[in-house]
Amino acid sequence: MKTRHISLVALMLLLGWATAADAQSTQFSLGIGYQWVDLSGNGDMYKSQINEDDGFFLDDLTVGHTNADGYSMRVDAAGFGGNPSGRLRLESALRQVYRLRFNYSRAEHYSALPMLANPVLGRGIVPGQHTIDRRFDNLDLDVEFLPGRAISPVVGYSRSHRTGSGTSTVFAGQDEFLIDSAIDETVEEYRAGLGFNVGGFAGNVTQGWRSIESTEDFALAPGAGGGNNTRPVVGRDVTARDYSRTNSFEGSTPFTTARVAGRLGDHARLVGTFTKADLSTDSAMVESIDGSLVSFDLARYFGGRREEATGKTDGNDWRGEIRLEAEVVEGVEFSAGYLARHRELDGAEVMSTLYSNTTNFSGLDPRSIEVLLDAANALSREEKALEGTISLSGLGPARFWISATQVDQEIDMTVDAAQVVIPGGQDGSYDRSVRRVSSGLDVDFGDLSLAIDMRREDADEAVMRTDFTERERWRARGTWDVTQAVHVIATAERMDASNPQDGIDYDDETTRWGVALNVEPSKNLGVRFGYDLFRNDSTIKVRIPQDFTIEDSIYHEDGEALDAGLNFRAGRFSFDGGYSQFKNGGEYAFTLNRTYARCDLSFGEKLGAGLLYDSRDFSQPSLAVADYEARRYSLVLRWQQ
Amino acid sequence: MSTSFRLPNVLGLAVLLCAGTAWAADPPDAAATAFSGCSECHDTVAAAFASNPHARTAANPGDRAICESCHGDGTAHAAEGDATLIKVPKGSAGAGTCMSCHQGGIGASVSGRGAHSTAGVTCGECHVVHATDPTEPALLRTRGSEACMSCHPDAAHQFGRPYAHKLGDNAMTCASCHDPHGGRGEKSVKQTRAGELVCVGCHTDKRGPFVYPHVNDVAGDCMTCHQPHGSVNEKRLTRSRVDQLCLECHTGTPGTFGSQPPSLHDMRSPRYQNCTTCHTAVHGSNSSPLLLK
Repeated sequence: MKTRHISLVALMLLLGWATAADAQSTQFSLGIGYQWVDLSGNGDMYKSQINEDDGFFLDDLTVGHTNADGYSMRVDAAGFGGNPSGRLRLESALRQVYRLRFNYSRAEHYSALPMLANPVLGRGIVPGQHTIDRRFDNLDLDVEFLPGRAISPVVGYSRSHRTGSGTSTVFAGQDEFLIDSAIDETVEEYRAGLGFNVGGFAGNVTQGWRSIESTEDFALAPGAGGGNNTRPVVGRDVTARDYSRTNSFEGSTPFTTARVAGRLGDHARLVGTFTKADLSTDSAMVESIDGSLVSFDLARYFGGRREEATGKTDGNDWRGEIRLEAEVVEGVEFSAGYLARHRELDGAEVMSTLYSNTTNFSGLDPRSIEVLLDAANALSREEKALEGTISLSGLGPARFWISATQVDQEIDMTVDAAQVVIPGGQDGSYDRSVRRVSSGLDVDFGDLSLAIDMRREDADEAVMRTDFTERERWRARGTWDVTQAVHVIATAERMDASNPQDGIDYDDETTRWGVALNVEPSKNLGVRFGYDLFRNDSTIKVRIPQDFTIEDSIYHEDGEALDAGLNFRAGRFSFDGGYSQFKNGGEYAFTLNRTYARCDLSFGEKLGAGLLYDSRDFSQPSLAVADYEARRYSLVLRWQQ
Repeated sequence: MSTSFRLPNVLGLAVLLCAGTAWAADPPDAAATAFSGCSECHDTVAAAFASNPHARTAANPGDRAICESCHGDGTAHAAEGDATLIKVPKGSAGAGTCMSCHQGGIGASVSGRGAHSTAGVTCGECHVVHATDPTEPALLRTRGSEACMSCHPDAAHQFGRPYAHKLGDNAMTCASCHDPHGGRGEKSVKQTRAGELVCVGCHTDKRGPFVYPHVNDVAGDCMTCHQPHGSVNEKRLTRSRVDQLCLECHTGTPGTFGSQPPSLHDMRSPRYQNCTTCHTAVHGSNSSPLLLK
């Protein structure tokens, strides 16, 4: 929370400076608020879903300035403080000289869910053992120089910083232990490029260099030495006295992107893109654990383990696409494209493991054992796609398009023997061809427009078990402006995917439809209503590990969402409020109710105030400990000129 | 240089450049915004247009050639005052006018026949060239994702699910991940500048490459296990139980990729129903072939 407030204060100072410097601003608005959160129930669940907190926040800040010399500047920002995210955006340009775009965003990511990674849920212990409380800071800066339309150099910089704590687990000695974690990761990217627009061809070429540095430290959580497994293993309690691990990671990725588009005569256009990236990383891990532990692999008890690993990966990615678009005759357009994509990854690792204070299960042979592992992996994917599309628009109010695509995939995997526990399904070569036909029809009668499209895909084989061999999707959408004040949008979608291969028998069916109604009898009054239904039924055969029997894995979602809202303005007063409910009746049944309202009142032309109310009630019938009720009250003061 | 100093430095540099230029610039001068021949009648539009992004590359911002670059020769229209004598780019023909310039510059899409244009959604549906606020980024009619949601209410409802990416003015927008000028379906999903799936642009710790990768855009990608807009399941997973999600791929079947867990995994025990309690490095590991750490 402290960092949230520091950020907000720093932002206000920064923007105050910018505003003072630009005394000729033609647009300025600032809204600062304070919010209170009244929470009952599972606070971790609330933070995992919403994460609003007590404190100041920036409701809105906009500073805009333009002048006749072609200078323009805009700063807008919102969030920060009690809000889990915040954004500052700055755009500045001077005609024929430069354009600058700067974005800074912050997001706080909290996750402590009751069911996820929680083998001790049955003992009533929540949340689960994998939690995170992290902050992401991201910034992007691009400056484009505009000496003219022909050539535009651009330079840019991006930085992403991730920090925070969390909990995880480590599997050691036939038990899992809860561990604390802390991560510090920085990704930086420098880039320079050139935009061009010459002889009817426009495009850009960019060369970038990205680097990453990451360190994550782990340590045994207080009181977690007993592990999750409370029973003795081979007659001995498995416990940990001490645990520590550091994962460090460095990587660099030079990349090149190029795009070009241009006209070939009056009726044709050629578009090409190319991206290439060379990835490489170096990693190191040092881990040690002491306690009373067991290894089935070594058939021994042991008192300590120290492991060191160094790894190296290299990757080569490239992707290129070329497409020809042509208007054959008026109203008939044709496009044909070819896309090739290649992804290749190689990894190698050397690991040394020392087991100390070992005895076999009969209590003999006490000595340390050193194990060395030298492992390597390789994966690659080659994909080529040919696509052709014909669009007809000279059909009165109707437009029709049809498209055919063939994608050929080649996937090769070479896996180190060290990770093969049960042979099969972990390496090999896979070839897959997917043929896709899609088409659509749009009809526009002015106030009423209808659109329907379908896509049918056939694949000769599946690479992964959940890959389809047949898939079909239908979508429909209609909009109707009943009157100038009444607008209706309805959407429907159905998708069926299947793979009847013996032993898989995959079948997935998704249906969804929704309708939205907007009524705006005047500029000062609006009513909206939305209703959405979705359903998913999926089955696939799975093999149960403990007895190798085959069972159906059945998954079901049955959701319903509705929302209704009202907004109106009367003189200096405005109101926006609504209610929404989301219910799921499938495998994971819950209800989420939300009510919100915002009232704004202006005191003259420059000042105003707003009151906000937001309530969220989450209930999960099968796990009452996950429920929460949260009420958020906010007061916002506005100043604009 | 310590990384803690880099952020404020870059931030300060950016604002300094912006504010400094504002300081040096002359105050607004309505007379200077004149577009000879056009501004006499269209004074409001002309005044706003002087700082419109479309005027940035012009040598002389007051030149009516800027207007005519989209509206065509206005001589007859100016002489007669007849609205029918000037070209007003609208619909797909209007999109052609836009595309004559917006086909490949820095930050511009190169997609001519994107999904939206194929479905009859043209530039003017989302953008307004003569914006009253020319500083509005990309000259959008509405801020953030409102324009998208007005036509894609189904996506709006997905973001209303309890486990969803936060979509809002101060967080993500649809355009954070989708290129509205891109192709249909998965072709609308953006890539990072290095050509990777857009997800790892933010989730950098999942990017790798790892010595022992899991799903990594070779066989499977983020969407194999996650629903990016929003899910009814924790962690935006496609299944409510982790063991169910894992076993649907990890069942040994001839001809498909996916290993079979050994029989020590007794799925009747809560310990084994939570696969990631042991296989913590489920997105990839540099030290554990079994993705244990």
